[in-house]
Amino acid sequence: MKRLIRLLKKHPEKQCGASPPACAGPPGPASREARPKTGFLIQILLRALEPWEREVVLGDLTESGISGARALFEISGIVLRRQLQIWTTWRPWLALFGVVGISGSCLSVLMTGLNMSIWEQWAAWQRYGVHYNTGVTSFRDDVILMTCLAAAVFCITTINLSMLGRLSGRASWLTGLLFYCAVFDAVFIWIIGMNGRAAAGDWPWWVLIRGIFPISPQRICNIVVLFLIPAICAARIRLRSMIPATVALVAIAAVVAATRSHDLETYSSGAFRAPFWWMNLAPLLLPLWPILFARRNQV
Amino acid sequence: MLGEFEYLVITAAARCGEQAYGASIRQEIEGITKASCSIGALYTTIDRLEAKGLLTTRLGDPTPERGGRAKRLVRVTGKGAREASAFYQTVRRATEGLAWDAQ
Repeated sequence: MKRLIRLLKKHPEKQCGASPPACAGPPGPASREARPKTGFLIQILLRALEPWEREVVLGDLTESGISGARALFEISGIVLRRQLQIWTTWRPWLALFGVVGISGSCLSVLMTGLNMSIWEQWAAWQRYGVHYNTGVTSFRDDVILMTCLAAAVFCITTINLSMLGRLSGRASWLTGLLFYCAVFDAVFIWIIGMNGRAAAGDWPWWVLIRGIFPISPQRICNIVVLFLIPAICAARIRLRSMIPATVALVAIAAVVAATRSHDLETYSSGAFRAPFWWMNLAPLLLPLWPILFARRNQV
Repeated sequence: MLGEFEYLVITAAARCGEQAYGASIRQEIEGITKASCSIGALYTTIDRLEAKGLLTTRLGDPTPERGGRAKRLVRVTGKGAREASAFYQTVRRATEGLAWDAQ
C-alpha cells in the first residue's frame, strides 16, 4: 500500500493515460499567435487531453488539412481512447466505489436529514412562529446541530471531492457527475424505486424532472453551498488543513444528535426508540475514509 | 510479438526517419494500407510501443504549417527494430510456399 501511495504521489500524470514525451511543457507565446480557430465542441473535447497532447493533435490535424466534422470525429476517438485508458488503473475504480459509492451514499443520507431539519424548522416558523419540536429539544441544540451538520457536510464533501479529483484524474468529470447524482439524487431515486410509483404512472413527469434538475431554491442553494463551493475549495485547499476542523465538527454533530435522540426518547416515554450511538455516527464517519488516505499521502 | 498495426507504425516510423511524427506516420500508413488511419489509434499505439521500449518520443519545435504547434517526434529503438524484424520473419515463414495470388 505504501508503495502505491508513493507512486500516486510521484506520478500523478500516470492517471491520465498518456505519459508526456521529453521536453513536454506549455507552448510558447509565439505558437499561440499562429493558432487557427477551432470549433467550440472541439475545444471542449480537447480539455480532456493533456496540454502537450492537445497541441500535438491539433498540429497534426492542421497539417493534414482536417477540419470540421472529421476533426471532431478524430478528436472524439482519441479522447474516448484516453478516457478508457484511465479506467485500466485502480485509482478511478477506488474513486467510483469508495468516494461515489460509500461516501456519496452516506452524504446523501446526511444531506436529506439536514434538508428535512431545515425545512421543518422553516415551516414551523412560517406557520406558527415557533421552532419545531418546541418543548422536546431546545432551540439552541437544534441550531447547533444543523450548523455543525451543515459545516461537517461541507468539509466532508470538500475532502471527498479532493480525493475524487486526485484518484480519477481526467475522468473526474464522470466520477464528479456520479458523485453529484449519488449525493443529491440517491435518496430520491431509492424512494421511487422502492415504491414503484413512477413506473406505475402515479407520479407526474414533472416530479421526476424536478428530482433530477435543480429547479427549487433549496436545491440550488444545496448545490451551490454544499457542492460547487466545496468543489472550488477542493481544488485550492490542502486536504490535511481541513482534517482537524472536520473531525471536530463530526464529533460535535454526533454528540448533539445523540443527545437529541435521547431527549426525544424521554419525551415520548420510550415510544420513540433512539438509535444506537453508532447508527448516528456511521453516516458521519464512513465518508471520512479519505482522511486516512490523506494522512498517509501527506496531501 | 508485435501486432499488425504496431508493426505498421514501427515500419512507417522507420521509413520517415528523422521526420517521423504523428501526421507523417499516419500519411505513410494510409499510403501503404490504402485505408484511413485514426489519430486515436495511432497515438494509443505509439504510447503502447513507447511503454514497451520499442519507440521513443520527444516534442519537436513548432512549425508554421502546423499552426505554430509542436510535433511529437518518434524514433525507433534498437529493440523496436529487432521486434519488427522478428515479426517480418515470422510472417515470411508463415507465408512461405503459399501463393495467395493464385487463389
